Amino acid sequence: MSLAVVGNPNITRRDIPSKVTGQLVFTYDINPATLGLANDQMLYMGMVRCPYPNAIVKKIDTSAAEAAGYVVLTEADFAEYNLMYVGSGQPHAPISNTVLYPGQVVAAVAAPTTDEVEDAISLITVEYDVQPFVLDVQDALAPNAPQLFPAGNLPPGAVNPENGMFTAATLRIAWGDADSAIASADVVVGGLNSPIELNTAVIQQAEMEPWCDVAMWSGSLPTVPGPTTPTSPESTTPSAPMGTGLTVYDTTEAPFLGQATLAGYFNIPLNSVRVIGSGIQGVGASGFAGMTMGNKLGNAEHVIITAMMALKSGAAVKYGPTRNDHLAITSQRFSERAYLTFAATSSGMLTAIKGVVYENSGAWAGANGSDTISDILNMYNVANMDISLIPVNTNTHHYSGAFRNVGESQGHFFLERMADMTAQKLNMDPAQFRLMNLHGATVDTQFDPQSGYRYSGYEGYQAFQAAMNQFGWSSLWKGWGKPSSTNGSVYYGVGFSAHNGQKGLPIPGSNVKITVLSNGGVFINSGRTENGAGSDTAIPIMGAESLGLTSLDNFNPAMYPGAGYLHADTALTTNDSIQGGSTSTRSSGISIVLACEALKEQWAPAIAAALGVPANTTLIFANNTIYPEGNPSNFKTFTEAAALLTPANGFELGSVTGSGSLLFNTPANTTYRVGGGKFVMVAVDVETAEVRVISAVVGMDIGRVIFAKGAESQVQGGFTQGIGEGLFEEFWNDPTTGRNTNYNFHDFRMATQMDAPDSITPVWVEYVDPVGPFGAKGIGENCSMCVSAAIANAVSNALGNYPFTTTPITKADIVTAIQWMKDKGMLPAQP
Amino acid sequence: MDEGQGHAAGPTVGEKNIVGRRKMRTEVSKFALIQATSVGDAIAKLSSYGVDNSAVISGGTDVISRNKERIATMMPQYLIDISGLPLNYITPSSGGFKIGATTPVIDVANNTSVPAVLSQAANAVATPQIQSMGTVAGDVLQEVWCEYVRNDFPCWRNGGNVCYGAIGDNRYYHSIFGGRLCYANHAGDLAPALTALNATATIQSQTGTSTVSMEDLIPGINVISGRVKENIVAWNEILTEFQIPAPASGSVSAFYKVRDRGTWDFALASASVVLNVSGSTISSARVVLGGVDVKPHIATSAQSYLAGKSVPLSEADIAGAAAAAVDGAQPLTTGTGNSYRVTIASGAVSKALRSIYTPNQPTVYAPLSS
Repeated sequence: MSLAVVGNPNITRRDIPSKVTGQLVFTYDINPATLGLANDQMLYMGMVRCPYPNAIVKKIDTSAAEAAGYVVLTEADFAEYNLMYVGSGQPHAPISNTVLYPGQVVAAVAAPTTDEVEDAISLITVEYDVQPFVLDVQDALAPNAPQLFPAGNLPPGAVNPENGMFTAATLRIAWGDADSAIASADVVVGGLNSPIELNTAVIQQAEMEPWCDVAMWSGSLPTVPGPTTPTSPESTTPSAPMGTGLTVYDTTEAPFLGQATLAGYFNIPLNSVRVIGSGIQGVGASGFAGMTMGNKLGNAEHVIITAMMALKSGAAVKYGPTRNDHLAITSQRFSERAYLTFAATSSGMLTAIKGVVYENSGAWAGANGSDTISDILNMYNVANMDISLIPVNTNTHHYSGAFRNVGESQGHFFLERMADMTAQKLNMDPAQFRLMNLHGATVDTQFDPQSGYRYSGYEGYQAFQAAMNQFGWSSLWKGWGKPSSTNGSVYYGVGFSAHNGQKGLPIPGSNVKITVLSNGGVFINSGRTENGAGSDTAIPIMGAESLGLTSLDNFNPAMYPGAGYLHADTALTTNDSIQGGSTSTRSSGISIVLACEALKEQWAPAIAAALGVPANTTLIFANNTIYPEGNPSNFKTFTEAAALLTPANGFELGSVTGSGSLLFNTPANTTYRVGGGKFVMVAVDVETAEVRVISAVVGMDIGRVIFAKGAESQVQGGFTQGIGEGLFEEFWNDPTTGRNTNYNFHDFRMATQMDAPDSITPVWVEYVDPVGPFGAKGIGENCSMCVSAAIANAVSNALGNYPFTTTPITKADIVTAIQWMKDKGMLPAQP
Repeated sequence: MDEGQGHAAGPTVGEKNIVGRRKMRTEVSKFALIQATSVGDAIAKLSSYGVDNSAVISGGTDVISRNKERIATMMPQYLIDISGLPLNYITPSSGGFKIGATTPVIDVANNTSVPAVLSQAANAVATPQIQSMGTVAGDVLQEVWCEYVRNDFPCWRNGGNVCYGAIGDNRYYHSIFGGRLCYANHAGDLAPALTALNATATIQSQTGTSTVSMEDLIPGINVISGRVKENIVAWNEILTEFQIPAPASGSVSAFYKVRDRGTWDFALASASVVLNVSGSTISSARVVLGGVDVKPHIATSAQSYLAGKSVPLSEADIAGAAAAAVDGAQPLTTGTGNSYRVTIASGAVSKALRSIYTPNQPTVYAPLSS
């Protein structure tokens, strides 16, 4: 297939000009004038938050604040709404007198100006009964541990918002006989009674742009609230009449999910809620590098509070959190602790994996660790498996929710450290060990061992090999115990992580409309949010390709008045599902291809007539022209054909619109995984413990590159995000009080540009995935997945293969490693 | 901070009154910014408003941070702005230099005449943005960056009677050389360099002017005007100038900072070294560690070790000096512990010493310009 726009390296991002010139309207930009309100018709909200990790609100005195004219919400305001909201796991009111994590909201207050918000907060006094707290997952399961909930510290299962599937809390998946295989194995890393302990940290996505909401009610208000079940987010939504019910501007990646959550919570019809997903910054540590937010899916709590404040006050209410608010309240990547054992034959064949993973669900979450388990099951061909997941509630953080590859960074870290340690014990090149054992190397092994479902398409093995070759592994790897090279006190290590992640499934319920105007302009209507991932460009690319256009000019309203892209407004746009789970390219891509076909079907008779061919002639859309199949010399330009869109030709609106919907996934019993490998070189100074990633090569089983610059940016941004996870990022909970001490950008340490590698090179393995549009898969979250594992293996190599088992690998860890290796005489000598 | 918006905070004071409005995103609380017309005027105003209500501001990179963090004891209503006073200069003087208190850090970083240890230290301060706003005196006198102080825990500095760092998380911001009451490290990169250069500082008070050594300026934990702090400058005194004496003939110097990331972070340890060399022999040395003690830590054992050694230093001598530099270390063993920074401090000394005679030594990050 000859493609003009798909994969074209010259296509640039459509959303950048409006962001860098300040034209894009963010939720923070919404003010009374924006809404046609007088200044005194909007209130500004702040939160009263408890610093303790576990406490009961004994008394809360709001009288002074209310006497001063401020509006206050406490738990009592939510008493009649006592239900959980989507994704929260453990049922609780959005404002609760039961405090289970440091920074939890115990009251909200609204004031007429931003100046007065803090004054209002200071007028509220709270008396706490501080309770014992527990921060460690295994401590939380001890007999005398503080109990977060009457039923104990084991959470219930939860619904994954990315696929709507319920996931049980505690899991155990086994096949074969792992115990016997381990007992009889030639080589064992860990052991039945001495498994290897590995740990990861609680971290935050810490986007530059905090979320923000503006809520206002009008028309008939809910009168008899009561418990109900949230409406399915997949429901097709009739447009809400503007100006009635609840309107919310929200920095969300899932406006329709938000609409369903709010309608369910306030027990009002779905079409009485309008959610407008205003601009999202999409700018990460590495600039405009395709870093998405992830946890703007999981923000229902504060939106409900804002809406409730608007309901109580009768005014529009704006809530823009402080940085401290934002880091505390939003969802986090959970920490996990794994105890694992790998067994192999002396020839390097992996024979068994056994272990247990404890997931720190935080205070209020249900289960989220199934992604971790899924990766452990899918990465390697292994005849004997016995793996368990135990989620545990603790007082460390709010909740484990939506996050970029939410459980998969952890799973890959566990797997790939264990794989390296196993290869080391075999004295085998770790890359060869992977090539011998990777799952999915051949078509007959491309299935999920748990469900038996086949992969949609998969060349992860080839992507791993391609990255390995591009990196030059065979010349850079010098053997176990040997750094790749040294220069004085700086030791260079190489390492990698293989990669097999469960992201990028097409989500049924994605709907897109595309319209061609009589001036040749093209307009897309999609409820999707552009959150920095590049869908604002990728989706038009697929539309342009389907319409035979050779650029995105026809989407440019400056060139074609009326052209463009309408995003994320439940009253005006299609429900295009969520911007999460790396699903956009496939979901909206399938829908827009279908929409273009529907459009062409309506348009074709008029074009055929103009070309003088029968109405049922097959028309080819290519090179900005339209012609009968087999006769390219008889053509109309796209612009000429668009000019046919007149009432005289039956196009009453002067345009033609096609709708496309992904209704269900085919083929049935299919799973969607992306594979490959990330290879890195690091520099470690053995005098100072300084460490930096020098270069990286990322091999990705991408199917088809749709938006070339965007895909490259995704890899670079995602990789840079992973550096922080690997080397710096962790929430600090004071061990003596349990309070958090780094809800700020200085001490919550994301990687900076100074920490970014000199080069991050993507290597694409392209083929036609049978499910994706043009053969594409979704790679977004896969870009940060397993970076921390690759870094850990490389740092280990630099120091003679010290057995690191934690992320982040801190300076303290490196000093410990250097000293340990020195003491054992295993640290390679300086030249 | 938005200028000229909103209503005044607190009493009207007659001078140009700029009110900081709390914004939802910047989180600055209200204060009155009052321009001082002279050092004496600043001191008078500070004295008038009192220890709990006033503070000096110039670059504002620290005092505004404390305001944004809502540290209850560190949110004065009146900030006396001395940025307009003629204290912004780097002036040759008797073979050395005088540096005004409000000189931006970046001016020192870009100055090719001052000793290398000082310009390199200035280059290592936080980020280029903070170097541009922050001042020399501000870097030396800034509040410690202990996460407990900054999160308003009731510790010694915040009016309580416990050091949470000593018993809790002391990995980054607490002393490895012991302490008393508060164990938070002295923050900032310039003070160790100035100490290594035997600089002095001039302090103006209501009663007159005094000039003190760096060691006397930052003696470690003491109580000044009822506040636990590491320097001796009272709330109503102004540090006006640093004097750097003429270097000895044959003097060479260097600075090396180890931080968690490639920029922004405070030192896990830094080393400021000055070698006075006669012929090919070190006649005397100054080795001062930063980020590891409640004050710039003068590594006397390393200084003694280096005296008499030949230059260029051998790797053995570099290793010996690096080891001697952490003599007497008492890393905290309670809480998380922080002994790893003993190793890092030693490594920083190695790097600094080696860089003098091997300027292109391999490093993980690009070398700081000087």
